[in-house]
Amino acid sequence: MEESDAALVERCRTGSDAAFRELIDRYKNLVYGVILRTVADRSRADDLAQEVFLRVYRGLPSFRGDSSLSTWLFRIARNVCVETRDRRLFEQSLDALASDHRPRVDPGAHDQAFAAIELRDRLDRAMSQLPPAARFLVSAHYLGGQKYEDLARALDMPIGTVKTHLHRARRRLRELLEMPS
Amino acid sequence: MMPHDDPPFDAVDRGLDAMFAAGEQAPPPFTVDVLRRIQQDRWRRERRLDRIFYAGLCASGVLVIVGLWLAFGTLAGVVATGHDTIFNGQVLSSVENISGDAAMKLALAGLVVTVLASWRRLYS
Repeated sequence: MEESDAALVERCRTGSDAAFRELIDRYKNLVYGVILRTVADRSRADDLAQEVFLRVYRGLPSFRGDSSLSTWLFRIARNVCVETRDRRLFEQSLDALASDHRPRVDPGAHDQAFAAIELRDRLDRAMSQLPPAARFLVSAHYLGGQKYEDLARALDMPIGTVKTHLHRARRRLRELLEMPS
Repeated sequence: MMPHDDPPFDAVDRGLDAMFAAGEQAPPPFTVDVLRRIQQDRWRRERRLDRIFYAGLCASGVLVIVGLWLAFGTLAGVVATGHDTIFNGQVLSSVENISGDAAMKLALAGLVVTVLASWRRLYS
């Protein structure tokens, strides 16, 4: 049976390198995946994801376990992503989704667009057109399986705001999918 | 994956679930790279602490020397004036008090700094 996160964190706190290696192995794909979706650059994502784990290592002594380890990781990942950009730009970019109502160009393209592989490709491209903050939110929600409450805690936002931003991001994705490729 | 309760977004949700189900794999040397960065970070911190420690040592050494110098200076002054007037005696004693106290406080501060630096060096 897999060791719980709390037990793993405790072992890491004792200074066990093996435990920290295990922690990295457990979460590296998740952290890397979310950051990659956010910054859309593999080498930068690699560097930033490493930075996340470095901060986790430094912060372990002060991690009280009030939130889950994954929530804490997402909070750090989000801070790392924000610091690489202009903070205001990162935060405003979520609001930008609200006012961005582009017309549906070709609703008839629906059937064609939702063929599985093509859909994935188009979603991938659509994702890259979302603002970074929205990409982070969508990735954390779908890839990390983070619940609204956890996301709200990780991003220091009210749950309602998280839901609204996610709703807008999905609406924007749908609009992008409905455009002819 | 996640339960999604918004019918109009079903297709988007399914697509996102499928897209993320494949998942992105971190590059193979990722763990080793992170551990290497941690080692470098530790090493940099140790160097910083070393610098603080040696700076503390130097500062306390200087303070002790200054304290001793002031103390000897005061003693020499007392010996040189010998049987001087009461006025001179008062001046000397007040100078002696001030300089002696200051030197003692400085030396003590140096000692405290050194002890703190040593403690951090040993237990970090």
